Amino acid sequence: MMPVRAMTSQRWILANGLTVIVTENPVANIIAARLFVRGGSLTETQTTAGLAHLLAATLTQGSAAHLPWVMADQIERAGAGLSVQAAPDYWVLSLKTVASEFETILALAAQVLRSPTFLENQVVRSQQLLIQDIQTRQEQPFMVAMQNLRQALYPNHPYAHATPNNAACLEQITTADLQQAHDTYFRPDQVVISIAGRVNPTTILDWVEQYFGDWSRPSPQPTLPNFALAPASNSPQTTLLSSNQVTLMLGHLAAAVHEPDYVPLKILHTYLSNGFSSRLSTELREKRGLAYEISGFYPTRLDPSHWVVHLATAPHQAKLALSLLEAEIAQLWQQPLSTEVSDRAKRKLLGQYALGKQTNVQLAHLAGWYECLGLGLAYDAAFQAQVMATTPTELYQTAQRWLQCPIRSLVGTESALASLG
Amino acid sequence: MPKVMPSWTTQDCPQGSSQDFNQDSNLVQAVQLDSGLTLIHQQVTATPVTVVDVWVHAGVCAEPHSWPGSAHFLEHMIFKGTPTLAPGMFDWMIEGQGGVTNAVTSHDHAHYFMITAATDLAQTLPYLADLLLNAAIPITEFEAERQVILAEIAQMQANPDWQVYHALLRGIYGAHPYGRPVLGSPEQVQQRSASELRLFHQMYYQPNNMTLVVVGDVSRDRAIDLASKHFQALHRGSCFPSLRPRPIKTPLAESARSHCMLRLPGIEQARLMMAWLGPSLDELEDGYGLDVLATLLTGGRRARLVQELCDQRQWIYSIDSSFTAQHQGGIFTISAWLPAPNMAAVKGVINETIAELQSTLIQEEDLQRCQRLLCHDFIFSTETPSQLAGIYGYYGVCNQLHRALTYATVIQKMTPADVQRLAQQYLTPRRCTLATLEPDEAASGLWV
Repeated sequence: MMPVRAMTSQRWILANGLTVIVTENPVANIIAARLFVRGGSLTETQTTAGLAHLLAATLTQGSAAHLPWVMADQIERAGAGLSVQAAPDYWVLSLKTVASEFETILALAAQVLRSPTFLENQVVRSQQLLIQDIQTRQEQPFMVAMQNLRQALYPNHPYAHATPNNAACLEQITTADLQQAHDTYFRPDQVVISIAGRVNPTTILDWVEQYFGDWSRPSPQPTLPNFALAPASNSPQTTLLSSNQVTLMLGHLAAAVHEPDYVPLKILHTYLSNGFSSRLSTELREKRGLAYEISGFYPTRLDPSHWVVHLATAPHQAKLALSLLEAEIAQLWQQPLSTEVSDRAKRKLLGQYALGKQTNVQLAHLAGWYECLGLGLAYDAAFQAQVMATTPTELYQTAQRWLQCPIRSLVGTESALASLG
Repeated sequence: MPKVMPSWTTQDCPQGSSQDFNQDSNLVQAVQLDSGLTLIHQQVTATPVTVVDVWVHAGVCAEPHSWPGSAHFLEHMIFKGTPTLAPGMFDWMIEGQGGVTNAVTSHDHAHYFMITAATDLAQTLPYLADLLLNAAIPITEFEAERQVILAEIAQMQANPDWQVYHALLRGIYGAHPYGRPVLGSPEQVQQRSASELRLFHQMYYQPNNMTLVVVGDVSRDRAIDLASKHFQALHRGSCFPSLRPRPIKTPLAESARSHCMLRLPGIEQARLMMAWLGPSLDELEDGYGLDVLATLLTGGRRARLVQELCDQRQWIYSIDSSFTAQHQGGIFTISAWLPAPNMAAVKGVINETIAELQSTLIQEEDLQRCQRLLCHDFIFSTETPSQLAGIYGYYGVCNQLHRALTYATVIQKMTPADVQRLAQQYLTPRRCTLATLEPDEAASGLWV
């Protein structure tokens, strides 16, 4: 079985509330850092859909101290990488560099997070590119199916637009809106800086203190908009698209990371849809040749997540594939797995978890992310212990709670979808 | 006795950028075993993960001309077991221990990898060897797998970027095997038979046609032991000379300029791809040099085409450029995603930019930016055993292991004059092949 390295990270909190995590990993002469800011899409309302992404896209477009190209110049001359993304639960600035350039790039990252300028022309350009991305996703059946599913699962929640989907909303966002969101959420007590690589923790702490220590914390603390999750639609979501395959996607609302059902749902997802030896791959691909890729996902989220399986198949096989997919999910809540089968799924999940903790980028991400989600560093060990302790009965009861009413999201030609009834 | 080949260390890399990475790892070394198998090994103790990657000279180029699609079909059928291993058992075993396994077929080779714990190696390696050497290619599994491959092709074809890229490969490589898709067409896949694949397997899946890479916490002696024990030479009787593919002539020196125009329904943005033939693996240093050109053009916000076309004129959504190495001749591409009406103007700017690189020496400072970006990327792409094994296998399978870790050295010693020479030698306008994709609003129907 894959042995798991324990995370050996150190954690500090600065006087202004900023959290610093350092993970020493001397294997290579490089340093990766993730700077998390709590919020992300969770800060959006229906009228500001897309704001989190626009903010991420414009943060690196100039700061009080640097014009946009001067900033790009500094980063690239150091041979480093620096980018900002919006995620459903946070924003994250990612940087990687050789150890000798780290301080320079960290200073630049402080500029990016603390004093962006939101130049009018850069904001307009970023809006155009994000709107183009929305249109390009319409070319991809999987993205269309995913978008439809999100709309159905989250009728009144920003996860519906965690990938921007509303060009009209994006166009309405102004530089003043961006400035206001930045003033509200970008503050030291909402920031976690996680650094991994060949580092001396004391030096790192000094640098973070130097570049972030005088960032003042206004009061009061920001509160995220409150969402009462409306009941999900249960009618099939369909889009007609000229395509030589039918995309079948089945999704359920699923436990948020802090709920007790999170770990059992992870194991169930691994069992059913992860890897070539998964139940779906064996039954639908190996035995019947119904699809090339049969997969699923259950992302880790602060608010209720989604538990999804999907495949693309030839139109004449779509009806069979759909009924088999639904039957396989139903089996999970109709009868418990054997201990042997559930143990295999647990080993597979833990093995993949271990493989996801190899590079400095992965180590920096995991430690910072756990802190940002409010789980803390101890969650690394707790997660693994919880996986081991989960019983087949708990899996079965969890499936009964969450997996009984899948929502169908289907993409294909008119005739192909008509045949599915 | 195994024949030990020269060995190299990561410390060949200069400039402080990479000289001391993987500090606790030993040398990477190639050993030829009695069976003819080449073993490439490096002990890395800082990780619990061990990677095994087996490279076979059995890609598309090895296919008999009349059997297109057989190399990739065989790669799928390998996992269908042997006389003593049931179909799917290998995946079941590796994943059940928390490991990962998969395979990839390209024009030059097929390779099969597994990632497991070092302690599991003695248990898992015999099964991987069994799959590769004794594949049963059972007829009972054949039809279902054919459907899987047809679905794989359909999935590829649904991707507009794949469509343009393959039009480009057809245009630039013509009748050479590099010009056809690895998976074959649906019609070709329909024609393949289990008996063909068995002959193809017997001919190529022998230890003397394989390179086994082992990277992880495994000693050299143990790696040699395991490899000698489980990859034994097979006596399968005669080869099948009639199946040997037509020798590849040297069609790659001159490609005629061509332009393939695709139109597809449901397309939201146009694509422009431009390509030039690059060096073969014998001229690897030129290939590395083309990475510098690619970075100069599109690597980062300060790159020339990004500044000109994305930031200043705002004529395109995005742009990318890269050199893809292949044994007999790589390909240098520039790809832009743009509104269809800007096509001609964008092409004009790209041509002017290249002409400038051919006529004017670049600034030392520009070159240094590219060198740093590439060398640092290289360090970030050699962190894990899987990344290392992939690099060793790729170079080792064509007897170029000594080149695997010289990347940074070669990049560092490039001069502005080298960059100009490469632009002049490879990016000549008359050798440029084009493929474009535009939305076809009038058309309806399927992408096929």
